[in-house]
Amino acid sequence: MRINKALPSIVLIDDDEVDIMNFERAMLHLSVVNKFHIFKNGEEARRAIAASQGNISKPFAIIVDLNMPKMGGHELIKALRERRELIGVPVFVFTTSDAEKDREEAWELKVNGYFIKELSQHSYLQTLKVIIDFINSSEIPQ
Amino acid sequence: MEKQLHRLLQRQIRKHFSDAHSIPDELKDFLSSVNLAYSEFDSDLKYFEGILEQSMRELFIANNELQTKVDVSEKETEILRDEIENIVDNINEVVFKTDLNGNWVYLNSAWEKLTGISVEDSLGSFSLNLLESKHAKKINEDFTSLLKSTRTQYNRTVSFTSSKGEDKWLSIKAKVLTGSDKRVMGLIGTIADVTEKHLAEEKVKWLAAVIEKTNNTVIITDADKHIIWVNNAFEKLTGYSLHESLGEKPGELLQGKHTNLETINEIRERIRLNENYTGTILNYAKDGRKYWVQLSIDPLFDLDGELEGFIAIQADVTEEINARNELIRSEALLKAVLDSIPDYIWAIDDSFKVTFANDATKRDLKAIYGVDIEVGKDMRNLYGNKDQDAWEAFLESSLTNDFKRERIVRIIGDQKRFFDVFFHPVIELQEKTGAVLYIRDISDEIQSQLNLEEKTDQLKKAQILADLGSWVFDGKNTVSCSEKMIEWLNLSSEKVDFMDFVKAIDPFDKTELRSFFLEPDKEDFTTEHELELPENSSRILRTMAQRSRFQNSNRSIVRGVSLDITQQERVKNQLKEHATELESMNTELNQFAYAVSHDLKSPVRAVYNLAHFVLDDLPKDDNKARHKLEMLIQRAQFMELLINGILNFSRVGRKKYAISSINTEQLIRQLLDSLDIEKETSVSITGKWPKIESEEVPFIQVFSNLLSNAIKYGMAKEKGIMLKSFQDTMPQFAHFSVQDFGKGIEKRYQERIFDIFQTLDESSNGKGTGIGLAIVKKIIADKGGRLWLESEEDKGACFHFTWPIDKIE
Repeated sequence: MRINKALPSIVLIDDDEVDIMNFERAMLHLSVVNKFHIFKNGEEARRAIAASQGNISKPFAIIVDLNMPKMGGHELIKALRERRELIGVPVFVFTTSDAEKDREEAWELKVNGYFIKELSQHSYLQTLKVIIDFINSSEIPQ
Repeated sequence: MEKQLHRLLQRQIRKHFSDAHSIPDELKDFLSSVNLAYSEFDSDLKYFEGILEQSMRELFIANNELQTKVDVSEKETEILRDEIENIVDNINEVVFKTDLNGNWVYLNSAWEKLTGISVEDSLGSFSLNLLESKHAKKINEDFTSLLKSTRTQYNRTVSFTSSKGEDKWLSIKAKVLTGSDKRVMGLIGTIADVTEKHLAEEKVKWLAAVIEKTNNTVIITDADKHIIWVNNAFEKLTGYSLHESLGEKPGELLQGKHTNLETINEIRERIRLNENYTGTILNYAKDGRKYWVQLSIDPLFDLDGELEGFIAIQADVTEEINARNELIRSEALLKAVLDSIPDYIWAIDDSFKVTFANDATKRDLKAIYGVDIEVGKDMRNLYGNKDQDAWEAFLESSLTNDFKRERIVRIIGDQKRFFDVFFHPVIELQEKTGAVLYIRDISDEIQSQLNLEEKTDQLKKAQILADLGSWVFDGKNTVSCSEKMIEWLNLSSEKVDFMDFVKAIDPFDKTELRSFFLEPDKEDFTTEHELELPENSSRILRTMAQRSRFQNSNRSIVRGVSLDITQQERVKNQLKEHATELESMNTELNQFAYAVSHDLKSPVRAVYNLAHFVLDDLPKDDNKARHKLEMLIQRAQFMELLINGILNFSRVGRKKYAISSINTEQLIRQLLDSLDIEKETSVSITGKWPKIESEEVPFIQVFSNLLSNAIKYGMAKEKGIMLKSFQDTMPQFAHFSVQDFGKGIEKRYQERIFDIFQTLDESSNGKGTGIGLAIVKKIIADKGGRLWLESEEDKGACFHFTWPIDKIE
């Protein structure tokens, strides 16, 4: 995959250092050409997105963990959904939680996908590949 | 004659008769012949001189005889005249004679008797004028015309009033009297007093009319009993006309099929004896209609005592007889009715004698009064009655009072019996002539009443024991309370005013009780309310009220029960607290499990991922390090299994799934397909698998875990699995088993295997976490089913469980 400026950049919000490592290694492993930004918690991400006024690198997609310090995933998604300029930004939950409560809450916030981090390296890669492929394949207005 | 008479004879005649003219006629012929004889004698004197001498003597004798005869004749004539006059004066009829003008010239003494006017005063005038009679003038005219006419007879009956004021009827008969030269000389005739005869005739006419008009039928027969006359009433009643009846015998005409034979015979016998008969008989009219008559037959005799015939008088008594029969019938009916009643009914007259007793009385009353009750018996003397005086007084008063009722008690056999005695006077023509006594055995009612009282008492006691209070509002203004209510509400009496009750039971008007009482639309009401008690305590009552309505009335009563639920409320509150506590603990546990799963998972994943990173970065030939890292990854994976197991376990029973209709066999086959077990394992399914109403997910979970258990530990891949459904268990439950044919489970481990984290293999071999069976146990316990194991070492293990057929709320 070569860098394609038309491809959406990807924003990852995850507090787990190992998972961030996992994400970076997977991006490398999958030769993803999209740009990506990583935030360690929701608050940080929200502020950054708000500061850039939604122009971190438009277009972009968000992959978010749920259980995080300061501002959790749900809270962040809710905050993002309230901003008019972010309407249409795809949001994917990628979390260790398979709790029904979490899933329901996420879908109520109209997430575009909900994926569970399995233990095996293989399944992590697979899931991430699906998300990236989805983002890259989906036509987005310029 | 004298010139012709012989001188001797003349001398003789002169001698005997003073005057020749006075010789009676009858002697004249005789004298002529004597004269002749004298003449002949004179002429033949010589011849008969001697004879004359003799004849003189004979003549003398004859003369004597003649003299005697003349005497006798004169005397007889006198007597005759006297007798005639006597007769004329003594007859009752007036004999009269008038002159040419109709004036009386002769009247006998009867005239005076009849008219009260003397004969002397009447002669010379037409004295009928003197009578008070409207007919007098007419008779005068009649007489005058009679004297001028050629008619010779007159006959008339007239009425007049005598000088004494008596009404009289006179029959006047007159005849024209003519002389030898046929010249009219006057009238002779008679006047007879016919008053009695006239009245008798009038009476007969009247009687005849009565007989003709009477409603009673009258039949007159001749001596041979053939009808010679019937009256109108007969024709009307029988339909036979006089003409039809004439010559018939009454019996043959009128008697019929149902006429009593004895009556007929009796009538015949009486008639035969010429005696009177009186009686009642059924007769038939011409049209076949039956009727009853009161019959009276009398023989009729003439003046000489000869039987002339019979007179029968009949009164139609059909209605009376029918009424009597009706009376007899209704009396019989009344008696039957009274006899059919099991109660005792009898009657006494005003001298205390029994006049009536129904069958029950005759049969049973001896047991009550100690004597038989018979019609005619004086009931004052009941020697069997201990309270003789009271009894008599009671009887007396029953005849003097209008109505009386008394309850008496008798010991009959070994039973105490109760009777209600009702007295009712018999009133005839506004006078009390007796009394009816009606006696009812009310022992059973009394017994029921006693039983009821006993039951009520028991109920009261039960209420007290049950801490239950009851009350009744009469719909007006009074509430009757049970003992408990009185105690709880601190009431002064059993019956309290409605407002006092409401104030006591709901002092601060916190419930709708007050409005319930006043709103008759509501049918029932339940409330719980607290009553403050001294010393800062309180009593909680649950009050339930229900309205009962009277038919045809707006009124309704309210029945209520109150229950002291203070203790219950306390327990309930405690229970609530505990439940809340439990809930929060559960929530905590959930949160704990959730936190654990997440918090434990993260480091495990981190360890796992890092191990992978290291493994990826490690040179390919460092096998020792790689092996160790792979073991690390394996353990991390097992760690995740355990964590997921704990999560699953903690979720059992907390999550509710939809209930659906499950075809168990079909579901199990789908499960086997989805698990893809049958590729490597032979699974046999036996028995009749039921349809159940249940949650699908936990049901599948149980089978899934048991199958997985059998595969892991039961050598299922080598020896197969058998799934079975049983029909022989409890009605509400299905019964299944999952059997493997592996090495089985030792008795001592059979309990332990269902505990969490318990496995019989070393955990290092990576087969199981020891959670599957624990989950099975927890699910089945949650559904109310039963789980048990049948196993012996080396003979496989068979897990049995039961599962409810219908959903359980």
